[in-house]
Amino acid sequence: MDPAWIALGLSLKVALWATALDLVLGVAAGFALARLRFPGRELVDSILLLPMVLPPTVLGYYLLVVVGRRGWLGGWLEGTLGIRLVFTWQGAVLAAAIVAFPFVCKSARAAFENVDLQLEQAARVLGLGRAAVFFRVTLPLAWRGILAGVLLAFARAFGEFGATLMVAGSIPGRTQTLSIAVYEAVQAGQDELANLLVLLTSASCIAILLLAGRIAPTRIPGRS
Amino acid sequence: MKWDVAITKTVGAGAQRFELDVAFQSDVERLVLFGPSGAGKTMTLKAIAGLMRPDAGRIEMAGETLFDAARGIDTPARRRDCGYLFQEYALFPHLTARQNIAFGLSGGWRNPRRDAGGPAVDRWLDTLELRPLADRFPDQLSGGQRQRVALARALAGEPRALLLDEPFAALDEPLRNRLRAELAELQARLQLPIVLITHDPADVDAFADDIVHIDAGIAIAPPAQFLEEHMMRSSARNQLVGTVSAIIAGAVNDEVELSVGGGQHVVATITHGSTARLGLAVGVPAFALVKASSVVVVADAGETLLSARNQLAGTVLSVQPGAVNAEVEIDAGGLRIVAIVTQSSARSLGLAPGVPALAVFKASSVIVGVTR
Repeated sequence: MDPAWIALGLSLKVALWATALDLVLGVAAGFALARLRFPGRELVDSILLLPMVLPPTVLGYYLLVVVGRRGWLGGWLEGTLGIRLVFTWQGAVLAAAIVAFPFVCKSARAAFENVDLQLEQAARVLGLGRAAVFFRVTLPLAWRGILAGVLLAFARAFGEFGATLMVAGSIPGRTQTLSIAVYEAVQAGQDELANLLVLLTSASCIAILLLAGRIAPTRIPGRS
Repeated sequence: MKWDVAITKTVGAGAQRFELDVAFQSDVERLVLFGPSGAGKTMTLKAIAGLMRPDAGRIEMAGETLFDAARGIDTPARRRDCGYLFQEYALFPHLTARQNIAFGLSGGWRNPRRDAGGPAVDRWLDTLELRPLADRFPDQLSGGQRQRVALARALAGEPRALLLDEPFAALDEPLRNRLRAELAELQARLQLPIVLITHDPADVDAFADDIVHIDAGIAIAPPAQFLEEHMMRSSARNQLVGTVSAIIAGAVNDEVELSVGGGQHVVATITHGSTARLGLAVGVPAFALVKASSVVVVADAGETLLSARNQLAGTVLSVQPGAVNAEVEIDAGGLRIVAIVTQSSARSLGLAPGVPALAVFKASSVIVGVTR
């Protein structure tokens, strides 16, 4: 298959996994920040938002320090579980997930804070436990705000370049995502390939935006 | 004892600091917590429902301890079995009226379906005339309709008591009066204990069998003075003017008999303190106040024995039907007494002008006053 299409497939795979990871972790973190009162809450919030402002290369460096083969987590992962993250597509997922994480976390926190606490109280009085209140009241009411963040996170993960390059490298067919392939093609003077890759990326992004418009409900039933 | 509450709670700090220290006992069906906004009424009600954890104290409902800080008892809200009507109704905006009503009937992590049914849902849709609105979302309902959906939702699970937070505050005046009457009738039909909090004296008039006055976080025990003042303003009253004909002193309460004209006598039970404060003695001019809603109409008293001390025989002068209730005026030997009864009782008793009837009210529901 054409290397361009392989890169596109890899980009989509990495972005989907990264978004799925962020969905679970970001919603959990956003909920905790919105509902739990603990000392240092705002500090935790700032740290979780760091990937948004730090240069991707700095993030990539941190990641290498932590999950690199000689990193404290990476060494343990490879030694006990035989899992290697550096120079693998899983490493690219991790890098993309961390870079895109703040989008989900921030929008989830705001969405949860917007849910009227009285509605949760009403559900409790009506006999629901904590988990049921979350899945039947809080999440459905916060869902729209969370989804907006999730779509942004997907777009950010899809286009991720710096941190991914540092952690996963640029191995064609294995870790060379679309945005990295563009860089490589331009560096190698392969203008024709670069043109194709750029067109592919642009088309994919338009498709994502169109899809987002269809998935995200413009109106929750009954709410104007 | 239906309600035995003694709780304290401190929230905020500095200028925002608010201390709640409320204690009351009551054994009536309809209890009203009355006081200005920000006095701590909602906090008290939420503590009863299990939505606010007091710092100390205990809460008993019908003999069952729901909360006891000393013994470490704190039944979670979901097991307290209280219906709760929130001030702004707190309907789930993402669910239809039907789904809202069915909400508490199904456990699990999924909301009831749009076509959720079952006898309880259907019954409440019918009882509160919500069937045409069943598939609407809360923002497609008017204020009064929302209140009815919230009421149906609270009642569908057959709670042991209904807690109402300013149930009429969000409505405009004419609607307020109608829904007040509807709720009073529903409560009487279900025989469901209610605790209602309000800052509106009209709610006190319609619902208070007993009243706890809460102000600045503190429950004020003797509301007698307030009730007297309130009754003076109220339009739904019977004012019977006469003179004190006898006083039988008791340990706590005195029994005061008034001769009120037409050869009729009215007996009132008031506190020892009130007798002294009002300077009541035989021969002193005084008046008795009886709420029209406290007067029971007995159509054929032939063999019936009633415990109420005041039973004035007469004939019906007029029956004025209202939205839910009827106002019945009885002429008892020249004394005019107004009673408020439900339309259905007025019909089943066959109340009409000229029909002989007895106006009955308890000695404890009479308030005695003097004019100076």
